[in-house]
Formats: sequence, structure tokens, C-alpha cells
Amino acid sequence: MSTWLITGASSGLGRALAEAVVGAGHQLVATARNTDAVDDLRAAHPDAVLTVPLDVTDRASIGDAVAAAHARFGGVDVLVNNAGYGYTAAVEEGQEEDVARLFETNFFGPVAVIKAALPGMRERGHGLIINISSVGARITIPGGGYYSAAKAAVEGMSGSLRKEVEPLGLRVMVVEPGSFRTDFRGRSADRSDVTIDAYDEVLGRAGDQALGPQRGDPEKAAAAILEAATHPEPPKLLVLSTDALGGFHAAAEDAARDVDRFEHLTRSTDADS
Amino acid sequence: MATWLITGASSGLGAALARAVLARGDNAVVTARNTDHVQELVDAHPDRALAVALEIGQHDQVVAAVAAATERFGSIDVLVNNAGHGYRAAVEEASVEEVDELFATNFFGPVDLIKQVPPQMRRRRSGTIVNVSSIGAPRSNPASGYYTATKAALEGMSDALNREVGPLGIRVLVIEPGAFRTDFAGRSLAQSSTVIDDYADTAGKRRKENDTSHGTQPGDPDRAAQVIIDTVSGETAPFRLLLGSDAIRIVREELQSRIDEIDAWARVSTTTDYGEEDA
Repeated sequence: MSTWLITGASSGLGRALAEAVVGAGHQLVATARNTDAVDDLRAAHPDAVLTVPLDVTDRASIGDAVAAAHARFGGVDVLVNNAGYGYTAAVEEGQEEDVARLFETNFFGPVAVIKAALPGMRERGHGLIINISSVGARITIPGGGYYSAAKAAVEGMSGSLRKEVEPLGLRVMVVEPGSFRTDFRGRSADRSDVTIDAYDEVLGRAGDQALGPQRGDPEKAAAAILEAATHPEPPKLLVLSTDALGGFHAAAEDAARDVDRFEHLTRSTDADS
Repeated sequence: MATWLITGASSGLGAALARAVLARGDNAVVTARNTDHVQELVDAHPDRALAVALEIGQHDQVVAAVAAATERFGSIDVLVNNAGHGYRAAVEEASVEEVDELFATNFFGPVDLIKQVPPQMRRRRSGTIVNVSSIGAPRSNPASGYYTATKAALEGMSDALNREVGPLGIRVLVIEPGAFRTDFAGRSLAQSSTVIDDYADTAGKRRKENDTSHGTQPGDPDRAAQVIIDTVSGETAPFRLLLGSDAIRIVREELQSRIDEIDAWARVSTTTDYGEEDA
């Protein structure tokens, strides 16, 4: 039995993971901006579930939530940075305030939660930090530049964090989900108020362009994350969904091909000695 | 004759690029926080070089720099976002203020500048935006988490930008240099004031006082400048151009290690789709 703290546990993947964690007999600190949405979990498992209001953009609420987890369960074994949302805008259309808010929630917020959880994990010599990224960190689409940037930032930071904390007995795992049937395209999606006609076509705003079905099942994703997290050697990177796996391979092959193709240019910048 | 706007032209790769651009007869708008540091370039080519004060992150200065460049030379054909600096800290050691400043310089500043040039480039249906990233984007080293985050963010944004402006006739090029013999590890490198003992063997080894790579980097900035110019002027260019043999080695290692990792967990990765019965 371990203690998990999940941000954004009110809906989508966070909610599915919260249910799976409790179902597997673990203790859970379920956090959300509004805890009404996770009260049913606490009511169903009063001994195992603590609900705490946490807004990742409110630094005080982060400290309070980690302190509450320590007071109730003695520490956090698994931290899941899941809270986040999407933002659609051509780069030129992105609004400074929107982009700042996106980075606050999707990057600086998780960083602050990690920094709050680390002292306790270092003291106890164990802990797992799971950062929920997106296949969008690697596979970018028109209109997704800022979202991809924030997720790529999370992954880049996570790589260094892993090298810093592994010698201390801690683990870091990045999860890259593909497209899942959650509210991500609804409540969790923001878009720029400003639009520029020149980008209508490439962003798919011209005419009715239906999005494909979301093929991912959040409950199965939660089970996969739980399996990876409880493995003796959790993966550094876990891609979720067949589509995302295929996309990952295709992107890696493209990148490798470009490296090969321009290798002569790349090598020509070396100094003679 | 093309007009280039190069940020951070006072030293390192930016200065080398500015010199090479002017030497081949193009116009260069050279920006720096303090224009005293680019005055030499202007004195050598007074008819084709313009110095503009630009502290990345100062929106008014960004708008003014683009306006001054356009007024003097009629257009900006090539924008080079080169200004930036490093920052060494374990993730836990960093202060919010230091990280905010790093993101302002390495990510939000370039974004601000990028947003100013597409209107004129879209009108002409031509132009090139060059974003100087780093081999630190694909490789996360201890103590470099925030620097890596800014450069990975720059690349992610650039990738979408490339897909958005490509159909409008504008090219986007990301440069990923390995280690070059510039002042990057000296003047351009900041680090946290907080030090936590637990990180002495990881992040601590890469603090400035312990880093011995300075002065022995394999890359020649002048050769890098020439390759950037040839690539911008050439017909075919990759979206991402690595510079330096060390960059090739690192990217190949990173790609292979990620493929190995996801292949090892592919069975779990493919269990999450809805089945036929759920559709």
C-alpha cells in the first residue's frame, strides 16, 4: 500500500486514475480546484481518501496540500502531476495572457508541486513522480504550438529531474497519452479569441472538419499507469495508445532521417583541433 | 541582398553570424542589450548594419526594433532568435524569479519577436525564421532542467509554427548546436544561489565552478555561421539542423534510448484502446 497524490483528480484521466488507485487498495490524496467533484470518492472510501483543494497556479494551496498529505498519511509515495488543459491558436494568434496562464498551469504549476513534494521524498529515500505529458510534446499540429511547448518543457525538465533524484532513490516517469475519450476537447480546451484568416485552412477552421474519434479508454489508461508505477523498474517514458506509439516511431524515424541527410553539414562546423 | 535581424549579436554565435552576413554583402540589424557591444560591426559596415537596443522580454523594445529594421531596410527577410543564456540548478534548487527570467529570455522573448514579423512576411509570401535552440533540448542533463525546458518549448512551438506558416511561403529553421567555443559557459551561464547538498554528485558537478568544458568545446562559431547562411540561402533545408559532431552523437543516442524504452513497454502502451465491443 502506498500513498498517491493526484492533481486534477476531478475528471478525465486524473479521475480514472484516482478510482484505479483506490480500487487497488492504495491511499489517495485527491486534489482538484473544487473538491465537490471528488467528494464521492472520499465518501466511498473514508479511510483511504483525503480530498484537498489544490489549484496548481496558487502556490499556497500546493504547500497546504502536501502538508495535509503528510499529516494524514505520513508522506507522498507517488505524485501524479495530471492537472492541465489545452490551448489552440496559431503561434501568431496566441495571446500573451492566455499563453502565460497556460504555462502557469501546465508547466510552472507542476514544477511547484514537485518542489513541494521533494523534501519529504528525499528524507524518506523513496518516491515516484509521474508527470502526465502528451503525445503532443513530440508530435505537433498546427494550432498546437503553445500546448506542445508547455508539454515539451515538462518532459525536458523531467529528464534532468530524473538524473538528479535517481541517486537519492527516487523515480521519475513521464506519461504520453494519445487521444482519450475525456473532456479534453470540451471543458479542458481553451482557444485564442483572436483569429487571423490566413491560418483558417491550416488550422482546420475552414468548413466542417470533424475530429476523428478518440480511441483511448481512460480506465484502461489508468490501469496501464498503475501497472507501470508499481513495477520494480518503472519506465522513464510510457506512451499510451496504439496511435501514439505509431506516431512516436514515425516522428523518431523522421528525425533520424534528417540527421543522416544533413550529416555532412553538421560535421562541417567542427574546429580543426 | 537580404536583410537579417539577429538578436544577441554582441558575442558568440550571434556575433559570428552577424560578421558573416555583413561580409557577404547582406544587411544586418544587430541587437544587443547594450548597443556599445555591437558598435564595432556598425562601424565596419555603416551602410549595411544597424544597431538596435533590445532586451529580450521588453515588449516595447521588440516592437521598436522590428519597426526600426523595417524602416531602414524596407523589410526583414531573416529573423534569427539567437539571444539566450544557460542556467544551472537542480530542479529543486531553482528560485521562481530565476526561472521566470530564464523563460522570459529564452522562450517568451523569442515568441514575442516571432509574432511581430509574420504580417510582413505573409504579405511578401517569403521570409525565414531561425530559432537557435541547443543540443540541450533533446538531452536533459543534471542541473539543466529549466534550460532544457526553455529550449524544448522553443522547438515545440517552432514545429507548429513551421506547419502554420509553411503554406504561406515562410520557412522556419531550428538550429541545434552542440558545444561551441563561445562564451556560453562563461558570461552566458547563470546558476541558482540555492545549493542543496543532496545534489552535490549530480547537479553540483555541473555548477560553473566545477565545469571544466569551457574553452575546449569542439565547435567553431565562424563555421557554424557559414552553415547557417548556406542553409538559409539554399533550396533544401531540414526543419532542424544540428551543428557539430557531438550533436549528431547525442541525438542518435537519445533517439535510440527512447525507442528502446517505449518498445520495452509497448505491450502496456497498446492495452489502452477501446475494444471492438466498446466502440
